[in-house]
Amino acid sequence: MSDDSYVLEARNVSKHFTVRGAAGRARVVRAVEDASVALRPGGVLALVGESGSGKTTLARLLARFHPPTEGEILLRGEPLRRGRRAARAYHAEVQLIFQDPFGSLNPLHRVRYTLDRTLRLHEPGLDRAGRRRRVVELLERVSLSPAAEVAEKFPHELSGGQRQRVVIARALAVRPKVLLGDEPISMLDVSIRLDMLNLLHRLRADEGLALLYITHDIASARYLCDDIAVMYAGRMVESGPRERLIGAPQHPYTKLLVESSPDPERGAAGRDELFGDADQLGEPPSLIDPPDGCRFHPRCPFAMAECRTQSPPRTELGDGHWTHCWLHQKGRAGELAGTTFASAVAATRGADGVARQESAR
Amino acid sequence: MTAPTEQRRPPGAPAAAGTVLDVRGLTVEYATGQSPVRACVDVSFTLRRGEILGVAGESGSGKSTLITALTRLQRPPAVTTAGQILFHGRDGAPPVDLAALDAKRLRRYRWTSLSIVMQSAMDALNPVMRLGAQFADVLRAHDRTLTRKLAWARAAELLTLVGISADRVRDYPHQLSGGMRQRAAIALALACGPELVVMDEPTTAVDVVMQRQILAQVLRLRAELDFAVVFVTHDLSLLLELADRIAIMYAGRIVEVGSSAALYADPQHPYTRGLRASFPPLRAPLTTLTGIPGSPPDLRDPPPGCPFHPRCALRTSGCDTHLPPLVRAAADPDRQVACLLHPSPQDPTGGEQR
Repeated sequence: MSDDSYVLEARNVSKHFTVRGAAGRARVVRAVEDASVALRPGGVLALVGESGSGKTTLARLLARFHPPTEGEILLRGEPLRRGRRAARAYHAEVQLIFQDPFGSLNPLHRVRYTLDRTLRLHEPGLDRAGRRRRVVELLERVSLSPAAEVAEKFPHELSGGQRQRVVIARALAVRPKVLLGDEPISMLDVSIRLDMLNLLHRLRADEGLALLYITHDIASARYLCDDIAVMYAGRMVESGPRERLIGAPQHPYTKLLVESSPDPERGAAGRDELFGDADQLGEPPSLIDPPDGCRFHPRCPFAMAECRTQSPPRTELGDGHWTHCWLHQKGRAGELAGTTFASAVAATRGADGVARQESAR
Repeated sequence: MTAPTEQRRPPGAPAAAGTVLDVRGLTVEYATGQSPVRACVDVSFTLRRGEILGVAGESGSGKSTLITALTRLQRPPAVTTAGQILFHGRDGAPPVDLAALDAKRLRRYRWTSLSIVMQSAMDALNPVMRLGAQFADVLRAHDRTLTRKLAWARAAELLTLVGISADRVRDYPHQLSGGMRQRAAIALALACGPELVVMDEPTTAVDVVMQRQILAQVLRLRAELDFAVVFVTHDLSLLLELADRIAIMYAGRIVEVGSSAALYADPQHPYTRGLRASFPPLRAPLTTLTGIPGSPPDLRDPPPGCPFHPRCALRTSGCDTHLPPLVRAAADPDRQVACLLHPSPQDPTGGEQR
């Protein structure tokens, strides 16, 4: 059953957190439910979705920060072993890059110390001179030059982009096979973002690193990745090759996400067309008490009876493209291409909604 | 309620009847250490009634400094050292210089003429007050005759304007989702019917779907209530869809201004081009993008000449000595650019010596 071509795989994993409410009552947050991802060497998978969709939790499951409530995580087809030694061996292969380069470096230590410590832990065979060489090498790999000078700096002396490079250099210090990037560029300036995307692209092309790229920016996901997986309210709703997924989304939520992304190239007739119907698109549900059936149904203009009661099964669409949506089971998938999400919502709204739009025009 | 909202392309006489804000030569300095840091230098622009002006730039470009100066919310060490912020009221009264008003007279203009939406709604809303009480505070400060009960009713009305149900008026900010909080902050900014709303990255903290929703509501409300918007963000691709005109800032200066359509079709300043090429396309064919090499200058020690020249691929002789002024660069009167490659038709001398 295990596929050797995958380096890291999460199979049907769920994560439920127990939180205490105001009255001290325990409640369960279903942060991730039955999610599967698989990473190939040299392959890049983007995980996109709104905040609270479970992207970060899934990355943390893959990074062994939390044990999954259900399901399993496989490294090269083998299930994880328990214990500190196994955890360290795991982290020598799988590294996580955090979103916030301001919070993920110890402000009291120089860059050299940060990298040196990682090397000492993961490459105990290396002597002092060897580690010095590796620190310079690592900084040069992430285009931080002059490396010897950067190594002596404290994090506060570096810009956000430089810090994030240090974070990436630290992750690369252990020669990982998999990088999990949790919105690694979202806090950086526009011109620096592209540098980081190009750096990640190089790492993947030159060294066969597998990359999970978590983001809410679909355009950058398309730039960097082969495949895109979409999460909504803790569940994966669609996954497939990037151009197919963006060009013809097969799940209403993917459609909403793609259509909401800024795209000056789309050549719309004007602002009214771009924003006209978009003022009532709804919000993601609470994960403490998620909706029955498909979790997207309360916001979905295509929802039917099945959607409210039963979770939709997976429909395979070929070329590794799949989705969880009842439209495909009921032969209504064609409706997706014929409209935009916002106009479909507007069409289902009553006379009240129509009147409101008229006044907005 | 004079000007119609569809006044997007009026003939371009500056400070004409349709102008709500006329900023001239605004310079803001941070008085720190030995030499002051000029975070905003000689910024001039006009804003028409009902217009959406986008201001785009990276961190450190001076966009936040600009709006705190516009709204007079700056704190020491920031000081406005030169320039005027002329506000033209709806009532047709002679323009007032917001930069020169004392705090007491300024109060008359806050909320009723000019309001602001901050990036983080959690910081803008008081966490220990119910939404209704915060709205009532603002409303009653500007209308002493308003009873508490009526003010709360008006608060509920304002919340429904932005798609929040009226019963939420009794909620505390933490009970709302991030998107709702941001919308509540927008409703609060609109409470006293301002003519100008300054928005500082109002949708940076929310995701794309909520962003589109919020902006759709802002556009609808703008059509209903007739206010102009200064919209500050680093997301140029969003501005290209949203704004009527866009000003691009770099190192404290406006380097290019133009209508969104013109800036999209034909960006003229090398920095604008670089910025546009920093956003991967959503649908157009993919190529390897290079963005802009280097990093923004240190404003404590700005480079001589054009501040962009150290990063500019098109620099020629003179770029490192001459500071190009912001001048009309094309037949389009809305179009201004500060670059030696685009010598001005009216100003044959080129740049000023620095």
